[in-house]
Amino acid sequence: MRLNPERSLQDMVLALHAFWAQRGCVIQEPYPSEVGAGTFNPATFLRALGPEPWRVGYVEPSRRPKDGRYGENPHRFQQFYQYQVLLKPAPADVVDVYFDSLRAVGVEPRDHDLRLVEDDWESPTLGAWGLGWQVWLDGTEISQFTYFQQCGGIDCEVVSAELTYGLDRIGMMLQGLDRVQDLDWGAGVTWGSLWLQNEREFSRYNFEEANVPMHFEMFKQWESEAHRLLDLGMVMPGYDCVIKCSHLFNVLDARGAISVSERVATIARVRRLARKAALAYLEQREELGYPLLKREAPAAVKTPA
Amino acid sequence: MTADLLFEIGVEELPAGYVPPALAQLEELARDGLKELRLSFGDLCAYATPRRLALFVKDLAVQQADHEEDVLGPAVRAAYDAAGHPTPALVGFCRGRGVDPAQARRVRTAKGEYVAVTVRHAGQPAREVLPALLASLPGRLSFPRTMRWMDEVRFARPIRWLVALLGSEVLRCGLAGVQAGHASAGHRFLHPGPVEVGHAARYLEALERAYVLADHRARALLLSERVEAAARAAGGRAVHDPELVEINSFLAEWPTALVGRFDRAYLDLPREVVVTALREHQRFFAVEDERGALLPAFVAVRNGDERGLDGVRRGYERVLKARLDDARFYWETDLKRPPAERVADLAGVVWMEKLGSMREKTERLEALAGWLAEQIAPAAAGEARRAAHLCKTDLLSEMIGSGKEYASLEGVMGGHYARRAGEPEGVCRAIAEHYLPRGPGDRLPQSEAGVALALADKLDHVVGAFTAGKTPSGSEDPYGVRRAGNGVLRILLEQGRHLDLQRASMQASGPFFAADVAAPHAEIMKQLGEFWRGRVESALSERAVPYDVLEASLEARTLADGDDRPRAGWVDPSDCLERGQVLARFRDDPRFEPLVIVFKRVANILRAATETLPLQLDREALREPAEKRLLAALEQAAGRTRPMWAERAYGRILPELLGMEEAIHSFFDAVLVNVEDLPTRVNRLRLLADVRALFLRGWDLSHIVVAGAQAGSG
Repeated sequence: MRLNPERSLQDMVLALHAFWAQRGCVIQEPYPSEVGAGTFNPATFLRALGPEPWRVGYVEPSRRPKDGRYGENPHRFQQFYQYQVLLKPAPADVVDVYFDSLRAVGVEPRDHDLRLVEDDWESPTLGAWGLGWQVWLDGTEISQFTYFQQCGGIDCEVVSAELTYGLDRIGMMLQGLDRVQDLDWGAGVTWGSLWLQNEREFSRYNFEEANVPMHFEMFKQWESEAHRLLDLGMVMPGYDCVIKCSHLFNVLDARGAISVSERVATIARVRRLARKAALAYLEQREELGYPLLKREAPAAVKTPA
Repeated sequence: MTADLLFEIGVEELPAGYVPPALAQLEELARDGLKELRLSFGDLCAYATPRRLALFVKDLAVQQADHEEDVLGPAVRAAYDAAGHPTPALVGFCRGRGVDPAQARRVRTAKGEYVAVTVRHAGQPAREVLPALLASLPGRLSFPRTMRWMDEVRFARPIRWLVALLGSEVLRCGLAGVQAGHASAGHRFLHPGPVEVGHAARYLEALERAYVLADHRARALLLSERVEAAARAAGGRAVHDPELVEINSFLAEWPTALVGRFDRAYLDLPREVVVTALREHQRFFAVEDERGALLPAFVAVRNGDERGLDGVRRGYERVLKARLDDARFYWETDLKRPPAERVADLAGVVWMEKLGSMREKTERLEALAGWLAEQIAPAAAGEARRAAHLCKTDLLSEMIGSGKEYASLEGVMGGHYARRAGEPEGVCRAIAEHYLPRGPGDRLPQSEAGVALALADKLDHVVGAFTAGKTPSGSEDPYGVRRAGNGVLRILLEQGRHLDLQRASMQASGPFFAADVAAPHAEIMKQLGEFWRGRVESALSERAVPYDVLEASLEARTLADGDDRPRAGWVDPSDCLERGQVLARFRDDPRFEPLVIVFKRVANILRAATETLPLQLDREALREPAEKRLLAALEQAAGRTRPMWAERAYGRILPELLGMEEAIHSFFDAVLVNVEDLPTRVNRLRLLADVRALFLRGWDLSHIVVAGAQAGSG
């Protein structure tokens, strides 16, 4: 199959899949629930915890209700596509390998200005933080590169490198476009024809129509369900509820229903849940005897298998 | 014999702001470390790029200097036997030090007589002793935040290579799983792969061939020239911003400047918005004409050479357009609703937990800013009230509420919106200034209404936080209460404004106490008093008021004009500072010590007294000449200083008080205060209390430390 990642977004995804699969990654699919970023996917948030080695790559359609612009803004939209890679432990040549992955999608660094700009990444809802960079391509942030230090408020025993690519942005730059609406998704279909109506409707929903009392009520319900399930040691269903709470909060926030100080308090409630899920996961993995430790070590990242 | 030393720590890209402090530390640590190792050197300096911190030492001695050390051995009685021969203890001690026992000598110490020897240490080759020092350096640099990447090693970003050369010889040293060698790294894209550094002295040349300008001073200079040249080519000059030059120089190993343009229409946005859009995210320089008006152009610095520059420029322009579009979207949306219409919506914005909404804060600020303006600038009271009414509405604007990168323009935007809505200029300025100062180095509000509102905002913050129990403790101050308090003090002290902080706090607390009648009001006011006293104390000691003078000024019992209830010395910080500075200056005066001694005599006898004193002195009951003389001296000093207190002419007051010295001393010499007869005793104490009260209006001199202050007890 011949790919032309400079021509279409789907070729870009396929090129990244191939690149990272050759470097020992499991290629996974998105998490089937609304998330704000690929980090929320348990393949990152939970697997970054504990001693087990892990490499994964996947696309994550991510929702940020507040960023919706009714499909009218050429650069802002409430649903965007991340390509997410987690390398645990972080290999010593990980920065160079990341730049190689850009070459694989058609970005030749010498033709551009590529910079690593400091970023103390933090997800207050997940109680996760790490140090690393935003990667700028000719002034546009195209990636987030983070060495995870904590997840769910717990120190990462083995430090992972998390690489997140903003597919829509890289695609626009590769295709030389000023408007996301014109982005060639693949097979001659544009972003606009796929997602424009979706943006209009979700922007309207998130800013105008979302039922506020219902969202508050659902937040409360999923929150208590999360506590109950995690108390029972049911990690995945419990964490699933945490993800739901986080999205409900984002909708309420977009709807303007949460004041500045309530914001802090509500985020803290989600963070407590995330921590509880992280602790339950660690306990469960220990009980299971860390199955991924027993696997053969994956091949060195630099030399494709 | 000397050789040059190079030690390079190769890292993944460091945050630009981390580098300058690390450079200074690296130089200092190396200087101290080499001195400790007794390795002399000609010159020492550090270099840095985003990917490396390097230490270069010119003409370093290749051999440590020899040195002698005196070592104390066993006590003489244990060192020699009866016949005066060395005991096994002494022989063993000397063998351990490599010295002949015959060279031992006797020394006297506080513990008795001991033997001592002089040990000669031959210097070691530098290459033997340097590795330990070099390997210890990275771990001793401190950064705002550090990270782990493997094991437990911490550094600002992962360390990936080390170069350690003495001349052309590799020093064997390792750290974080990396061994030092000859190999450095060139520019990530212009020269991938290792760069051999053959000799320490050729470090800069070797890297320059690999597209890295490692000397940051030279790099910043070059960058600055290139930015200026580019700005000239764009028809103007770069907006002066040395910090931005430094940031850019620590973002690029091979800087190339280029000019980009944007649509002139964006210049309709407020200047601060355009400059922030250029600077905060993109690190671009704004360009202005000779009159200081912005041009629709910017200068960017690329980390690389000229290849593909047009594509890079298009990328920069595209991203900037998106940012400016966002800003314009915010601005135009915001202009649709004038600030006055947004006030009611502040009810939906919570200020601080338990302290209600911004709407309620607005109401409190209107009253408080008006009251404060009456105290410090009555003419501005109307403007201050109006500004208070509108000042928080920009929180509801898109620019501040949605555009995170513009959060630093809080207040400033409020001023712009008010101006567009046709509010009077004084109101707009006050709104724009009301968060000032935001920190120790920030500028102060200048307009009278701005000062009143800035003070009101901070006082309401402090008093509200205390009412809600969100008080600072130890080094913890999550609600920024101390910062707000320090802001109040900076305004008052640096602008020489007089305000009674106790009354102002009382005024600010009114609405909070009315809303919470069950709160322990007296206790809260007491805590607030302690808080302010602490802020005043630290602000004055930062302004070099000596500790005891400071205490004396803080503990005064001052009297405001037309008020006969004494106030604590700190309540008017500017007044307290003036009194402190005058007293500190008076300290070198020969009359200072007698003044303190006299006051302490009076204070001590009053402190020891347990009697209830009459409210008024019975003048007729004073019979002794010394009593009458003291009364006369007191009345004279009180009379002469009366107008001076109102004028705060403290430099003239002190000598007047000293005029009582003789009368006080002769009173103590001639009169027994503690006589049997109670009415006489309490009346004499009353007289002394009046003397003390006059001193106390400026200073409680009992806190002053003087060498000869042996106070008599009367």
